[in-house]
Amino acid sequence: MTKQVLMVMIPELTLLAILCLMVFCDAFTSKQNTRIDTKLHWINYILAFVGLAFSGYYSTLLQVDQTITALGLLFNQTTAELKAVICVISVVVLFYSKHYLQSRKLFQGVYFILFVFSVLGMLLLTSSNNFLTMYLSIELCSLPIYALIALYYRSYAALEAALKYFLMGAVASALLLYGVSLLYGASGNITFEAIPVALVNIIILKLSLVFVLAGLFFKLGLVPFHMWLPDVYMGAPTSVVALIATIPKIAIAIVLCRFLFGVYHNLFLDWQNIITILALISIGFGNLIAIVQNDLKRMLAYSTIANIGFAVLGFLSNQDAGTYAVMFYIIAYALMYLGIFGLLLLLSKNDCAFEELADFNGLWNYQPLIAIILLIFFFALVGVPPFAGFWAKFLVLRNLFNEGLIWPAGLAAAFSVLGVFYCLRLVKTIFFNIDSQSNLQLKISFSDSLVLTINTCIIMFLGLILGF
Amino acid sequence: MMWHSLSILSCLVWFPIIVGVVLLLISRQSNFILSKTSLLKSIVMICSSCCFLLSCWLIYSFDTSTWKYQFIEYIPWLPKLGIHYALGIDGLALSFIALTCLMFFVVYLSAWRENINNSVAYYSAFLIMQGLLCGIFASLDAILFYVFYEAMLIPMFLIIGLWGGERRIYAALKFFIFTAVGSITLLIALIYLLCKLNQLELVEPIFTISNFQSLLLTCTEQKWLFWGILLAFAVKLPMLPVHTWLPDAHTEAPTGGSIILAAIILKIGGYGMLRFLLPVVPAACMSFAWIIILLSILAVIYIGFITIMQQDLKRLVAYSSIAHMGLVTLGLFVIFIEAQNYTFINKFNIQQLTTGIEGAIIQMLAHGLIVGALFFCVGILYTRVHSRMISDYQGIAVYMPNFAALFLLISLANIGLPGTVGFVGEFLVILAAMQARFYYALGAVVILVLSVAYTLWNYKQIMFGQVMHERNAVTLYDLTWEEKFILLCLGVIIVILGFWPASILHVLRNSVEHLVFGIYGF
Repeated sequence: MTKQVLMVMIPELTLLAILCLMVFCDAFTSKQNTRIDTKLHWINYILAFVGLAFSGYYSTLLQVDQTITALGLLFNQTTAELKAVICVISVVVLFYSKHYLQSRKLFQGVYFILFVFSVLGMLLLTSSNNFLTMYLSIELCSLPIYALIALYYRSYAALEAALKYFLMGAVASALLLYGVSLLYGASGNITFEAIPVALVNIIILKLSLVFVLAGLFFKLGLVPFHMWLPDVYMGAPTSVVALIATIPKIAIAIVLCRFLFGVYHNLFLDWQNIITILALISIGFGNLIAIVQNDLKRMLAYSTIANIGFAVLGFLSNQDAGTYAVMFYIIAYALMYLGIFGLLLLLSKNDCAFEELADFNGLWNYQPLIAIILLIFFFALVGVPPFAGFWAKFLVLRNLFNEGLIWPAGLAAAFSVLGVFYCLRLVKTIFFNIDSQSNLQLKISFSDSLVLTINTCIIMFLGLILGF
Repeated sequence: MMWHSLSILSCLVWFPIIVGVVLLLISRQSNFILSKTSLLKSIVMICSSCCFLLSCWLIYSFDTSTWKYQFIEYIPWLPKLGIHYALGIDGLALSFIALTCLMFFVVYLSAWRENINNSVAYYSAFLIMQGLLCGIFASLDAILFYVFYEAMLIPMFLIIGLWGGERRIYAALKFFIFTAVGSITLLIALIYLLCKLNQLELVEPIFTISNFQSLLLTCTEQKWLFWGILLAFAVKLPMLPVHTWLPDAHTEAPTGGSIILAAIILKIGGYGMLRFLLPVVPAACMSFAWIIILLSILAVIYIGFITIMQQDLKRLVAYSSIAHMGLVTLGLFVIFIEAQNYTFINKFNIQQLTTGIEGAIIQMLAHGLIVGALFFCVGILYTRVHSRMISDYQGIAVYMPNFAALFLLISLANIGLPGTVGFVGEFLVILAAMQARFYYALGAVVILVLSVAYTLWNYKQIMFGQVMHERNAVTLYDLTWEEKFILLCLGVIIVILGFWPASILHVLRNSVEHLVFGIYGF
């Protein structure tokens, strides 16, 4: 490995080294929760925090002038920026979930080790250049998440969610592997760029397209591969949901870009039809079913389905515009879900868990600023100007119009207006309903509220920096 | 294009928004200071007076001899997408901005004596809305217009829902959903126009509204775009089939919210039609003008009859707004029928063609002033008796003579009495309708009869007759100084503009002529 490759791989290597340290620390903990145990758990938390923060900071400063490929991984400026985003978001998730984990007795070294493993998998996934690395990274990113959900073993819902996610995820990975193995069998190559040149058998290409899309759409959560999302979001501990809702979608989206624009470049018309139909159904279905939900996390799961549907519509154009639109959309929505789940984490740390919609009754009366922040986030989710969601939808719609796909664009916009209903339902509950329970003193520490404010401001003003 | 610096229009847009946001943020920290609500009200009054004086200065220094946009500000915002922060006004926008600043001044003054719970949030919501509304009228860029247009829904929704009447949640949800659904079609149409402009590959793609007006669109494109853009502004205006949100929203909103809804927000529909519908898709307008005219006349007649039967005071005024707005759309679209009477358009018969549009604009401005004053009067009555039902009022004139006089003046302006500005708009629109076809004018004149019916009937029921409830003697105090001040000012403006409409027409003339030339490709 040359020095160049080492320089570029420092985020992953740092995380690996931190993981070794964390496992070493965790070996000394016992089940009795003595003071030394608590200190060791805190050391693990700080190690995870520092490692991820350093990786994120390093990736922001990294300037990759030319594309470097080594060890089946690809490094260019785009991957460096995406890795920075992933690391920063994971740091913020860790930061938000501190109190929540302590109150649920999940604040253990094991939790942070699995967390960092998962993020490491996602970092490798953004850089993956051939099928083997991609599959290994997907597994590395998913398996710790299954375990993270099941770590909250006191809750039946969490165990059920973990089992559902694991079983369905295993099947989806198997489908993905089968599709990819078809490509390898027919061409003898496992790199993304080499396939369109080496493989001339269109039938095998089309067959593998179906399986690969099935596997990858499962991870994103498009209809009809969406069945795991509501149950997992509802059952899993909120800190893990904050992880699932934000980061894996970024990594899977960039891999999907590489597949659709690289491997299946010649099959543009075929996957265009598939994506249009699945995306439109997702948007309509997700927005519609979200209206009748009473559990907030379940409502957010269905809204995720709808938003991913809209994001995936951005693929229906040429490579540069398509990649930019999809990645901007997914990152903007990742930040929004980060803020919403972060707020849920900060509110849930007391005994009263803010999970039902009815828990938010009259929040405006005793926590007006939190009510306004929730208002901003939810209106941003739906796509009301001037918040970030509007600009994301605008980019995707503009791409669709540039390609002449007017009917899909019109239908997508019409279905996404349905999202206004569930947003208004929540806003109505927060602002207009009367609080029947007693006045709760919700204290949010200054640092938490500072990060939350920065998150809100980013969502509000993301439209200003759209041009870069 | 060069970078023009930020100046007075940006102040008018952002100053209220910043003040509103700052008030909201410091409300919890400095609860002690702001609990003295007189300080809060003073801050708000100073802010709105500054905006009002700014708008007066704009009127004073506006050059009425040209149709070109003035006070232009331009910052390249998202150059890759072609969206720019461009503000500028012509005569049309100027009159609406002046109306906005005046009406918000009235709103803040109307809340002077009221005891509103959570008043900081109330005032900051109105301040933010003031900035957004000025932004709508001042924006030159289409997507910037859309951003302000949609963003304005959020504070209005909160105002209706938090400080409204009994069915406020229903009314707020209905308002938001109706308007949001309508706006999506506008977004689709705008993005379509953006992409069309992009394909022309201009040297500097600027998606200003005037650039849209220079696109050449085929007939089918125009027809789809027409319905897309029309739906959004028809919901706002409101036109007949999609008007059902308005009675609920106006009735359940607080007094200040009703004033702003009726006086300004309805006018955005008309303004949007003037900017986006008429110049961009004139061929489609010409082919579909008969539908719009039919709907307008139907609105005038049908809604006029419904208004007579109302028992809720605010609902009566709300329905009369719909009827007046029907006259606006009539004036806007009758020009297409008129033009068929001429073989060619030159600068001699342009005078007759502009009558309809000028009438529509003056009707909008007049209606803004009058219905703002009307809702203010209704608010005065509500603070005294706390009931909106007409049957709870009788013989008010005995105890509130000043109010009776001013309320009579404003009710007569609502009817369209010559000498008040309400007459000017209606007369010009009916004149234009007569120039098109006799029967359009016949249908439109019905509004004069019906509005007399409901307004005088309403006035008589409230003001005259025997004093019904003796307890009213205690609660019915005559006008306080700020109420007198507002009603006198509005009344004086209504009468002055009624006798001297040339003052507004002078400002509007060049812009309207430019618009008509643009429609007919002169």
